[in-house]
Amino acid sequence: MKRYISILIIISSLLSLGGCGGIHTNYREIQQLMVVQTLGLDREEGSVRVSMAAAAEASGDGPRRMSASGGTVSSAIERAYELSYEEEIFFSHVNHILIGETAAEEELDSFLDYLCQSPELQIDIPLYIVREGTAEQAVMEVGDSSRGISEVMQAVREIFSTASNSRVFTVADTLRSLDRYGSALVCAIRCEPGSESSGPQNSGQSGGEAGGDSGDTEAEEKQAAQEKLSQAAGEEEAAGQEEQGQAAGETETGGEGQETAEEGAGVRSSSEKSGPIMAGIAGYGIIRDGKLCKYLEPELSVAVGLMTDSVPISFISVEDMDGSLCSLEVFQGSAKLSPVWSGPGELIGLDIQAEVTASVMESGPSEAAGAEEYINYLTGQLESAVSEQLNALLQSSMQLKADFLGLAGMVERSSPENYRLMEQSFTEALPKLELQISVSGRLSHTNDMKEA
Amino acid sequence: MNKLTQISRRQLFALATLMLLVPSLRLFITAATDYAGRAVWLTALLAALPMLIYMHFISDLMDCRREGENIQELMLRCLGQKLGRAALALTAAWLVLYAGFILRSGADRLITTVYPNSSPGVFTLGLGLVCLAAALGNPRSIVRSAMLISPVLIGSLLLILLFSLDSIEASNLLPVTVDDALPVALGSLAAVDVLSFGVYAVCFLEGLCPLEPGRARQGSLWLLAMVLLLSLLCLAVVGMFGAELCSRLSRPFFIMVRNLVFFRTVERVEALVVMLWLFPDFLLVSVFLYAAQYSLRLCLGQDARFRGERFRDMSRGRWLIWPTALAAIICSLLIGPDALSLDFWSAKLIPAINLIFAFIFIPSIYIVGKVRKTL
Repeated sequence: MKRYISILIIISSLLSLGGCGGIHTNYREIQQLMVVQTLGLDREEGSVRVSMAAAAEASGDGPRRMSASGGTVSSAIERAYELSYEEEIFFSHVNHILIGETAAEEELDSFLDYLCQSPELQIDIPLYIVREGTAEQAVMEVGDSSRGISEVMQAVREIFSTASNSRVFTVADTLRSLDRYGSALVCAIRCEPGSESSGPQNSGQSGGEAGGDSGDTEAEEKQAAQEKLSQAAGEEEAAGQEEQGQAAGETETGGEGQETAEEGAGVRSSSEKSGPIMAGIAGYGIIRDGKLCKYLEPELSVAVGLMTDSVPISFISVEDMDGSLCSLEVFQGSAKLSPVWSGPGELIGLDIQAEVTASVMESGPSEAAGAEEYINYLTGQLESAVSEQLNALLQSSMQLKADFLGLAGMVERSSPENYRLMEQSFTEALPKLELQISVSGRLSHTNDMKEA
Repeated sequence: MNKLTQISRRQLFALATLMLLVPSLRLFITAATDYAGRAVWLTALLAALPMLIYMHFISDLMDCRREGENIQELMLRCLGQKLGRAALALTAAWLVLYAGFILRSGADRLITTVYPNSSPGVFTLGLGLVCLAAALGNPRSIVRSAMLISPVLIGSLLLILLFSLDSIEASNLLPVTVDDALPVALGSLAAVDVLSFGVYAVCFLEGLCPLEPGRARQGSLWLLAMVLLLSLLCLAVVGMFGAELCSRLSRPFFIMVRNLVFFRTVERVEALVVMLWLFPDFLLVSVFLYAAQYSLRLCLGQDARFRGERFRDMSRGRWLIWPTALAAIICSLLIGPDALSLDFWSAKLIPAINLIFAFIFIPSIYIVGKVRKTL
């Protein structure tokens, strides 16, 4: 009995030693803390801009947000703290890290070093690049008066990792991949006008904002930004219509007319102009040598999932026998990479064998719908589409000489002895490799589609 | 046998387990990963064979002791009065230095994980005084407190390892080929360093155990359990982060704990785990302070065995406990004033002295004893 009492005393004594229990020292009511959930990092003219947002409060007040700049991340945070109402800013529960596009292009690696060394942040926080925008814009403007970027990013995270085995790339993933392969993939988001009506109360006010030294919280500015984004989205939609039918592929960063014929890109609602700005999935950023060098479009997500062993639930549009568009929902898949050697240590190609399983979600009004021939045709179309995706993905890796998919690791695991005998580094050998891609598709069910 | 201080060998090895956790999490994972990379999980296994031989050697040495004798008495017996006293003084100096270093590195762990921007002096002084109180008392209390805390510590360690299983990626640990043999061999030096420390550290309290056969067998079983524990630690930490990222992190185990989420609701429990690790620090420093003052008292020709003296009793050289503790605290204040020098102490100096003590100093005593036929 004495033994158990002693153990209980030992455990309870730990609670008072954890650095957060001293009621005479650092005790704070939760309301006095700004619990940062989303952290944005930007680079602007030699300084760093840090933007922070808490979650929406239970009282109905909007999320608290602040932004400030400084020479380093730490000094920017200090500056934001000085110019705010907050008693304490709490970073232990940061759930999302956003990096502005310019910052990612210039020096993502220095931010990664900060995130790795920080004593407060977890190292497996999902990392996102704000495509064609800044992290400040995403943190300060996304959402409405009751929900902010933290809630939106939670939804984005769910979408990125829809399937149980798909994933969002974290700070740790990125650091590890950069250290191991010299390049990495990071999920990208884009600020866009929301599809949802926000009701009359959302006139651009975001209650409870602690402005810091940022002037971006002004309602007029927010409204103007929303209008600007809506206008830009309209132009993109027009451009998208012109480009319709082109194969999905990668886009150079910072280029113009980057929008492809993305399904759903032209989402509109009656309240478009007054609706909130949201953050939507915008593919993946390729990081090479610590800098963002290119984007992969969201259409390649199945191929990315296959190569990273994390296939998301996603839709692929194919044409049926009559030329009508059908929508297939891919929900399972795997890819096996086998290196092709011409001799010991002489890698000449990569043989990729993929298997995907999908279901028919939407089919055209074909008379043959449901027939075996029809299903076989759709399966062929699925295989062709996935094969194209895989080819586009691997070609971009080869062209960039960036092994962001960790192909070297797969080759090494497949034949370690040959890999060690390679005279060239894998990334040097990558552009010259021959690709052999074969996809085996399966339509598991057709959702009650009957033969006519 | 003095019933007042008597402990069992099982209790002694429970103490050794907790003492071993201190260098395991401080040094082993990072040092072994630097050499062995993703094959780090093999380093402890490779170290098992030499360490079993070392365990048999130490057991052979300790089997030569008489009732109530520790390794210090064996030093005197093997080397004679003059050389023996010099060896005891050297041993005491090493123990005080190590105790001071543990106080300092423990403070650094608290500062970097729970109490940022704090002064290490507060922690070293606080823990140093608690350890002084322990060293002044019955050594059996130290061992019994190890018995009490070991289920909590080992239980939490296993729980952490269990919850980290989900995050282990095979690509971080494989492939391992013949080419990894040399890196693994180099990395296993870190495992040898840590395990040898555990093997010889308990010899300073061995006199509390009655003379019983089977030390080598018990010790070998304990050693194999420790090899398994070290391998599991490597699998969990390197399997989660990968060798490249582990090499960047100064305390990968605690960063792993920081990342763990229990049942999708409980997270950020690293402060509690860091505080748990105060107990192994306490035990290690207390044992080493006790052993250091014991050695010094033997040097002065005193009978250093505990006979139920009160705290303020300064008879039979017990006054030496105070300067010993003071010396350890002063060491802790002087060691590693900045992170770079502390890293040098932690990764280079202390492991090197430890290896010299384990594989040159102690075997030399044994050889001299055998040659002189005093063992």
